[in-house]
Amino acid sequence: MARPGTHTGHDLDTRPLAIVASTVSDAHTWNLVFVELVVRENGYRSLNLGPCTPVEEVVAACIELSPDLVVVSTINGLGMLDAGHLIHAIQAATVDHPPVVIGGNFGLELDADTVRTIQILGYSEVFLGESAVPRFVQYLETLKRSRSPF
Amino acid sequence: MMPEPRSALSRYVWRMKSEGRLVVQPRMGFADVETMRSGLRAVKDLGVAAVGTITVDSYTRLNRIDLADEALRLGEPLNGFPLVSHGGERVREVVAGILSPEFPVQVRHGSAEPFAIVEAMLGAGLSATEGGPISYCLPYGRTPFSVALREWRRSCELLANSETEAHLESFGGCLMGQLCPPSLLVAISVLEGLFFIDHGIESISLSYAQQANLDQDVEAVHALRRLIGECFTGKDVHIVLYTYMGMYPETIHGAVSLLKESAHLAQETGIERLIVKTAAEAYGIPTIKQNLDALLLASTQVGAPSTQADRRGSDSDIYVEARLIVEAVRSLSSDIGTALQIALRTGYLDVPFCLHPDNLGMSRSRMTTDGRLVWSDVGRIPIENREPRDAPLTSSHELHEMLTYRRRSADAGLAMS
Repeated sequence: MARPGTHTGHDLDTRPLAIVASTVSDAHTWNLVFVELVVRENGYRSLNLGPCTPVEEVVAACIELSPDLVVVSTINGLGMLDAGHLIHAIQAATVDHPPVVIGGNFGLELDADTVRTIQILGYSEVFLGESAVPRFVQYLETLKRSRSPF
Repeated sequence: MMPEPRSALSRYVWRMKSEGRLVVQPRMGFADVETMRSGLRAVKDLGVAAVGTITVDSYTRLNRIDLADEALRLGEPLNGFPLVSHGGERVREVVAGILSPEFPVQVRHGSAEPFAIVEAMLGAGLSATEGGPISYCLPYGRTPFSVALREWRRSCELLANSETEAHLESFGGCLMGQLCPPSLLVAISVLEGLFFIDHGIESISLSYAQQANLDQDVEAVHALRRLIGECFTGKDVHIVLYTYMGMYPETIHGAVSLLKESAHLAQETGIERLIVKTAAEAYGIPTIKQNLDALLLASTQVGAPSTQADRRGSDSDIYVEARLIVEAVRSLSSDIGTALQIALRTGYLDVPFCLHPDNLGMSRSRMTTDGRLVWSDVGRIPIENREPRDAPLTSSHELHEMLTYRRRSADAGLAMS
């Protein structure tokens, strides 16, 4: 049954589609609820895969739904370990995958080295720290504009 | 009129109540036997009326005993006590000379499939635990409800058939930790309690988590107490309060004020047991000392808990709504477990903002300017929908404001202390 905020699959709906997910070990939910609201407020359709997201489910969503963006939000501190697994699985299963970004929107702060490490893994952007949400919103806007020819 | 206690834990709780003492309890779990033991010992020796806690790690919670085993073997950090990995012998070592009628110990785990945990704890002589098929399934993962239901049935039966007198606490008063209108929290606590009793458990407790408005919380606890009187006549049921389970204050004074308010709430409403939060809550896992500080503070804050718990007998909104929900769900099947399953499918039970695939997800809540939680959309829950149907959906900003309300107001020194 479709829930408010879930991807509706409407053919004429030209809004970009964002998948919202967490990592396999992260049971936190509020960050995912928040991220999905931000995504929808900025003109995207969304599919929220919920907490403790199995890697296979994120991969399947990428293959079956051709999303424009995958947003991973994790706040349980084990993000690095699980995040690596996830991006590698997406890369292995798809020839051409959408940008996958990652963040935690409750004040987590990491240094430049860690950010670089996450990007090297394959994440297009990393959103952490106090400016995370405004930067994320900016990114959503840029991505949306780059996708549309108008 | 105190009921006949049917477990070691409730025997202790009711004895403390008769002496006018609030029972306080920490959340505590350390990976190794020695630290876990010293934590329990420290709580016991504190000199307050307390129940000890063994909290399991997240791998064990998720039934990944293999990962807990490996972490233990490699000496890697775990965020709790790997009860199943350690096994009966070593767990008995942890509580030897500590567990007693004057110091009950409860195992806390958060698991949707707790059978292995229950089996291991019984093997070590522990008989008190907590959770529930809804409260430990919906908020924290994606285990299908049908699986959680089956596993909780098995676990209850194991507890009920064991030689010890088991005690089960429902986590229904907490669910997602915040933003759930109290009538649903009260209803789910009651429903899970009925589920436990139905599966042979004879000593239970029902939870309520402190929210963002003290008056509303008082009303909610009175509603819970009244429903307990109506649904569990003659049974051994007490109420456990959780100090605020949402985003916690970041300042010491903020954390202390919230804890004090929860102790005050317990006193005001005659609550028997309080599970505390420490000043470290916003930052990580508390040390033993931080837990002891919180226990002492909560314990010395109160005078005798009020014994006139039913003073507010009038039909409060929360009582009326909670009762409607409980009756509607019970009417779905003579088997309470089946009733819960149908209730989730039809949306009679629908936890706001919960992303679990088996939660309908139509209901929504909002917060008034003074922190009261109200329904902005009841979805298919069979209660009155007081908001206009075209009320705007929650924005990300509004959600963030609601989630941080208690933290911000407590840190700013506006919380009642």
